[in-house]
Amino acid sequence: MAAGSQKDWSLSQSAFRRLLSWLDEGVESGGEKYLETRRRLVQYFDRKNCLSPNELADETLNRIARRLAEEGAITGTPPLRYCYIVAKFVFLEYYRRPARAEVSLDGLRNPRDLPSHPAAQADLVADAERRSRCLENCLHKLSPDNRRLILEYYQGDQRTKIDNRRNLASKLQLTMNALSIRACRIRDALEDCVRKCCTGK
Amino acid sequence: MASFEQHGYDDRSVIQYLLGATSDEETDRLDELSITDDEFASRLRSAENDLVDAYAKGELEGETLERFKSFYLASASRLEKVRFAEAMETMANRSVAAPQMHRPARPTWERVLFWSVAAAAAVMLLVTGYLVQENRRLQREFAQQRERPSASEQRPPVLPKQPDDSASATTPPAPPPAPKILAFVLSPQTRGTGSLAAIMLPPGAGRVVFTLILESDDFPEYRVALRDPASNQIIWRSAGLKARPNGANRSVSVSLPGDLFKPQNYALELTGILPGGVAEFVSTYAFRVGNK
Repeated sequence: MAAGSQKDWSLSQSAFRRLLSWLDEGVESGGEKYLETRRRLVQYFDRKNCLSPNELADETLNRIARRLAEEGAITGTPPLRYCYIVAKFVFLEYYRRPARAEVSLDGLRNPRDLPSHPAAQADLVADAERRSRCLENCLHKLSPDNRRLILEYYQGDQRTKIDNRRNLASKLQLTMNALSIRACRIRDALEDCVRKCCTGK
Repeated sequence: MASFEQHGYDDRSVIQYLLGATSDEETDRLDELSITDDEFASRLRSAENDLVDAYAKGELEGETLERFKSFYLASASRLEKVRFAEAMETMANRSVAAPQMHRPARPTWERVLFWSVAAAAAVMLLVTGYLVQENRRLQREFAQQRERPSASEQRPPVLPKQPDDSASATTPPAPPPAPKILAFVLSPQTRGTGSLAAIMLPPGAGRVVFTLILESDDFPEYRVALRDPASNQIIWRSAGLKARPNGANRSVSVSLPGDLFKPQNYALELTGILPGGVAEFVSTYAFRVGNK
């Protein structure tokens, strides 16, 4: 695939539907599988400290969609493994890009190391207050069951937290793993809600 | 746990991976699992949330903490996760400590929600009512202190106004129940100030109201943050506050949950907010908490 033609190709509705179907492997997920795969790809690129993990994840999925559109099918490799192989290539290309910018630490800071300038400190304070208000609003938007679960799941410190989770799993008749998956999903939704709220989206 | 046994990873290796501390070979292996293996992906997600929470709670230490700062925080989206976890932690810290009874404690967040909806209104009404009475007395005291030359030079904080204290000297048989609301007036910290203002908090104090005397009222709105100087952490933040008349001065009053405090030094940092939202540091009000 030539780099120039990759950029020219755009994802059509039918190509996207084909991609969803391929990821679903015959079990209709209503787009869930696509979202989860994309999320894993974003995290993968993020762990590699890439500057635009979202763009690279979309680039990965676009390449796969294009191949599906052109060849009709991808056989011999399970979808998720194929996604990883393509993602690895996308990452290597990104890494070798001459214009690749280094991650700038200027805009990043350890939240514990508060800036010494009072105005900057106040900005941080204002930002944290807005986030707290958003968190409260977003918690209220959860269903009562989900709210209860997330509150209980993250309750306590260290050992107490582990014991709480065991009790919660037992109460809900779930395995610890199933409980963890459910809690992570709710937390993701909560984080997403807070992010949107903070950015006014 | 088929995946665990099959692929040979454990919690420690997952954490090392998240902190960028695994070998290249191991990183490649876990990279692949993070996308292809459902169980590893969910375990990674859960471990990452717990790691970030542990950082927000100040539980990380040593090499793990250093790796977290140097590697994990070098990403805007991961920093965003940390801020989310800190917001959760701040909410938890804002909760009002309910008396410890022999019943399962409410989850911390649930207490926060409970108090934010139900108690906030009720407590603030109580606070307001109490402050009306209290401020009258405090204004008189403050005015008297200002008239004393030595006192005005040192600008000592006007210290505890704890209702019921006067009664304890004459009615010794049983200690009075801990007051639900305690009120203190603090003056801004100035260079070369002598001793730190000391406040005494009995165990189980519900709310602690601070009235911060302003040197001048230059902002339409203020915010207050409570800092723990030992850890240099902000452990509580207020919403927007208005200055109000306080005798010949102006002051900002803020109500904090009593269970935030331990016997140690603290600093309330006052920030002024201009109409465009620009914030400017105004003053620090340092004090020491002791146990009654």
